Amino acid sequence: MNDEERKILSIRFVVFSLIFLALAGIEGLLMRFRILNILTEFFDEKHFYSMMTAHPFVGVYGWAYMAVMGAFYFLVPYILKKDIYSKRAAYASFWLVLIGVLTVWTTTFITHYAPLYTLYWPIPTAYNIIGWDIHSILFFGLGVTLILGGVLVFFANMFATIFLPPRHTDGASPGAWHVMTELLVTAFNLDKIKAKIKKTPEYTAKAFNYPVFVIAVFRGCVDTTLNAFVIGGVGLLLTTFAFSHIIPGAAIPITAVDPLIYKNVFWWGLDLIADGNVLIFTAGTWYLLVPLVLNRKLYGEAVVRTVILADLVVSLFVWNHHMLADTPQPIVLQIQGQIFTWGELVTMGLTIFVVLATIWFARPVRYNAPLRFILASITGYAVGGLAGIIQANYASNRFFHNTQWVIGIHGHIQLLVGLSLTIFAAIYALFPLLTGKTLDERLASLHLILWTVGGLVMGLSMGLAGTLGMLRRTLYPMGLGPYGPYMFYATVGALMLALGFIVFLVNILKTVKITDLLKIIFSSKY
Amino acid sequence: MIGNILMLSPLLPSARYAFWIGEKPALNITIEVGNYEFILPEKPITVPAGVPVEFVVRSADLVYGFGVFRKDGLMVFQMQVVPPPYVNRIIWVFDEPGYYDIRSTEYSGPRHPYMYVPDAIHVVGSEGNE
Repeated sequence: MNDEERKILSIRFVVFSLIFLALAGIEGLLMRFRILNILTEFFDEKHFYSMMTAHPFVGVYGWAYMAVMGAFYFLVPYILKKDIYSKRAAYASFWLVLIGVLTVWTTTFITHYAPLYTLYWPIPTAYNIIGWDIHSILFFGLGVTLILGGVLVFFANMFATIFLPPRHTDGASPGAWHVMTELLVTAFNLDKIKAKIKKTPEYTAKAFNYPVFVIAVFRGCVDTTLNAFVIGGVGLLLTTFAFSHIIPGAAIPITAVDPLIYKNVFWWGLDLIADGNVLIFTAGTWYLLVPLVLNRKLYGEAVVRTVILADLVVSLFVWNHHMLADTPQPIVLQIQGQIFTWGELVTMGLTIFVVLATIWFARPVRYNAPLRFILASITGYAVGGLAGIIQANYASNRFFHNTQWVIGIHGHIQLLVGLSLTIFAAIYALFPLLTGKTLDERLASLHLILWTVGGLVMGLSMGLAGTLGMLRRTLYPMGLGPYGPYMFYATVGALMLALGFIVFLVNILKTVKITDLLKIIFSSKY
Repeated sequence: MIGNILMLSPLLPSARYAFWIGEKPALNITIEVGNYEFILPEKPITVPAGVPVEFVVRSADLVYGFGVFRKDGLMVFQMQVVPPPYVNRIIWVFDEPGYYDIRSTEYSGPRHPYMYVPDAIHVVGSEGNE
């Protein structure tokens, strides 16, 4: 792939990710109105919950993953000055994720299949109790498998790009096994540990051969690869289950899966998105963009490499903070989940400190769009992270679990103000590199203000309703009672987010013609 | 004891009930949940204030939640209801006499919002003042 081809691929990923963000936003707004018991004629509970099922798949895989994939397919070769390992795999990952997300969305839209993203066993499969169509389980499972299959292809391509010499340079190119061992040794600093045991003097860990951004990419990819195996595995399980119930006499019983063990495996895998994609990839993007914008070395670079490693290790042991309300869960796991979660706060705090210190020592600083977006994103992480540590407590989880607190002040502020603003920062920074044109700074400011304030208003209103006992994933058909005003302000926040997004789109379409954009997207034969 | 310190349990009653109460609960209340309905042993369940009560909740089919709410909508406590073979238990000490609602706190399908039993628990004062 040459430079031009990589640009086309990245632009394609980013354009589709923005379409999915718009779709997730429309779903979010419609659900906000439905929670207010408006539009009840337009959609019933089944419709509402199918939308709630599609919303995180479209938002996380359609928006966040596709944007990250697009950015990394451009940035990793750019930083390492070497080509993407496989062009075909790069395009395959694009199509797999795209078709997968569309399959999940279409299935839920047409059949109103609604197991929610949590997929707690036996809800996705209990079709005879809940009344799903068996084919909807099949297509949904297939969609999930395709998405995570695409994600796995992307990560394999990333690992190969980072750890393998470019293709066709010599006949005997090392294979997948080499990539795996190289990855694990470098990701977990195993070579350094070995050198310490053998008492090798002055050994420098392999991880030090790579720029910090690339370290964040491959360490984050370890988390998200494990995640893809687990969630993709669940997709495969649902597909197999549905098949077995379509073929006469082959039905797998629902009791074949233990609901608590399943939930543990599921959360172990799912939480790795939070660490890999939301935390480590974001940290990596800050480590890349802030020094790039300020033309300065990252403060405390050596510490940062260790922090990313610590975050990777911590991330493998935190899943239990999703299961603090499960009383049959062993108490040892409850304690472990809570304590390791504190570790996440420490690593996130250090990351924020490093970025702020880099900016501090670079004074006087011109705060351009990417830098301002990153600073606002840090605010999102600070608010969302603190909310997270409050709810991830065995005792307080008794009244925070499954409330609007968790999904509002923690979930949505982390994803909309934290993660999304970092992705926008990357888009503002990469736009000139990809298109040769710069976006309007004043419109960028308006986008930033509307989006940040809207996200905070929405998340905080939901969070406050949560402290009053309002549940997530619940409609209140008998009336919202004391939660009503908070849900009204949350809707105002959501409308501000939508307005911010429209300003962003206007900015893009003012700078590049839509016909030019379409030409770029369709200029590759893949 | 170590568990207590690690979980900061002296600060919040919910962990105190889980870790500190070694004595047997004064009352055991078994609630069955199935086909989107809470099957209560009596309506309302009458519980004395100030004594540890154990709620034992069993699901017959799906994942549910078991949440107890004050009349003003504030959540008192909750737990997940994990389906068989698991039995879900929680100990609670009610401080204030009055009526409490039960609501499922976990999504279990589109009928989930209707899993709401108002005035399901009646807590009576230990002095008989309620």
